[in-house]
Amino acid sequence: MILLLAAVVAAVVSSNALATVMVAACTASLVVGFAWKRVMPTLLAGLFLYPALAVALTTVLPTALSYLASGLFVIVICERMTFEYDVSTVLGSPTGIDAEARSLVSEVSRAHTRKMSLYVALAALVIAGSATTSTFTAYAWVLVAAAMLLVLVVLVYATR
Amino acid sequence: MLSNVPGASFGLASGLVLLLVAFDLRTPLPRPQETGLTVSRCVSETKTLMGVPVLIELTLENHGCRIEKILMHDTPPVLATARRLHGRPSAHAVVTKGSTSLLCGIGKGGRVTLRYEIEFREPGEYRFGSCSIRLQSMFGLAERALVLPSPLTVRVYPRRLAKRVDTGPARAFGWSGVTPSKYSGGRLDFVNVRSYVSGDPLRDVNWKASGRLGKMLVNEWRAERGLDCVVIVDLSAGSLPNAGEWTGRGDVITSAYELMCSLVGSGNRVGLLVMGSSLGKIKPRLGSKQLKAMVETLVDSGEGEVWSTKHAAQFLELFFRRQYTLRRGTLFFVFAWPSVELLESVSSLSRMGFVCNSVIVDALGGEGRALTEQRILRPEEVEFGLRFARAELGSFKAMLTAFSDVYVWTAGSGFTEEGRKTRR
Repeated sequence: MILLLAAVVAAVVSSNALATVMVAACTASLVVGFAWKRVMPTLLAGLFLYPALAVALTTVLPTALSYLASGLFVIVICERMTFEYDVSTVLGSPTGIDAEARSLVSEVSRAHTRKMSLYVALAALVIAGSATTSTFTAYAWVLVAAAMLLVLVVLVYATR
Repeated sequence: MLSNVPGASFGLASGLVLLLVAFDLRTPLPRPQETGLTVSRCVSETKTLMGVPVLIELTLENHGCRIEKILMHDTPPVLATARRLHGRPSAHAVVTKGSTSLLCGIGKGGRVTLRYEIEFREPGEYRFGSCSIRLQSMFGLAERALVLPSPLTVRVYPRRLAKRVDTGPARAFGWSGVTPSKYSGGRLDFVNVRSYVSGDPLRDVNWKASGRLGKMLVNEWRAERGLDCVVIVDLSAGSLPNAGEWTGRGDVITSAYELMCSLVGSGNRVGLLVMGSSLGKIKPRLGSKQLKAMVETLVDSGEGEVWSTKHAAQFLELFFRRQYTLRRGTLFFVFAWPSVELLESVSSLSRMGFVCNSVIVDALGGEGRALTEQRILRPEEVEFGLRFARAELGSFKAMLTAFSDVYVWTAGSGFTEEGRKTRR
């Protein structure tokens, strides 16, 4: 629902024929993914929405920041949706589910939310860092944001 | 990142994706041989009745490192004798409560239990196979699939209906045979009242009559006679109605079981001959042990094409020689659809001197429901077909009455007499 709303807003704000087509493709893909609980169409919907939303966000944010914000939004929503597909296959049993199984599912859901929040916090750190950099230089902040992200990737993976 | 070279911002999302991947793959998934996962299965009953819910518990234990996300899925058991229709859930074992899937995280030494209830719709032996497990990283970017065996067998027996055939002492449908009933005391026919003779048991004294006439009188009893019978159950493919996965096997077995219960319960010697995927044969004997053995044979029997009632006379001669040579046996043919072979068999055995009885299991209702539920036919087509089938069954019944008494068994209401043998 959030993704659909964002798609409609993006299509209206960007007022661009290509963006409208991409948003339409995103909507179709999203509906297919949701109806059949499939991951690939949902990810494809995110991919279609990313540039359209970023273009729409450029009206209120600097270009690099809007791409980062759009990317983060799409990743978070798509990831949560695909996680919910797994949850719904278990909870959506027509014959019900016992309390113990329900509590186990909600435990996993909480763990997922915690991990996702940490990810969002790190990504927000990058966005804030690149926004700060943009006040000093008009050209290098895309490079700075990318470099920060790369460093974070290496750091996170190195702590395994 | 490449988009940074021309200075475009489009590629920035790839950095976010890489961060997500790094975040998710920080905790590596264990290899299948290193998982330390074990599964154990237990059921509330390993021997149960049709329609009684059975609780299944599948316990997963982790002796290895912590796994963030596990999707466990158990497959309901399959009937060993059923025809396999791939891609369809079994209609014989239906989940009535709970889910067969579980999503959980499991730490070192942890244990989780998947719990659900199953109802069995047909008698037979049901085998649980293995359960499938998917280990996943939290964001689902890494996955390993495992199949852990957790075999178990549940035997399901036909259920006796509340409204069962009450045959009375040593009688089944009003027949009495020549074999003395094994029961004494209560299982006797009252004959007369006579004067007391020394040695007569006190419980036989008729106190009321003695008081009236002023001398000791005792009731005289005669031991009842039971039938020496063989129940011939036809499970051959040609005579069992089927629609998709549904077959009339369950109804035929239930009716045969009810019939045997009544016959054994009234002190008759009962034997069994099952024609299906295998040839089941049990010589006539008395008692509940005999009933148990016959029920086990029925549960293990399946629909088949090899054995049919065509050769019933030969089998009787081979395996039930005493009954065959003396022509004493009362034969009960239990079937869902009368084939020409069966008709020939009943007529030839009747001419040989056997007392034949045909029990037609009314599976038409069940077949109609299955056809409608599985959307093989529309309800009006089913209704139309049923009308023809009933007419055909009526003509078969008329033919059968020339050689045997005909009874119809219906699920829920038991046996009803449909026609007596035409005596010439």
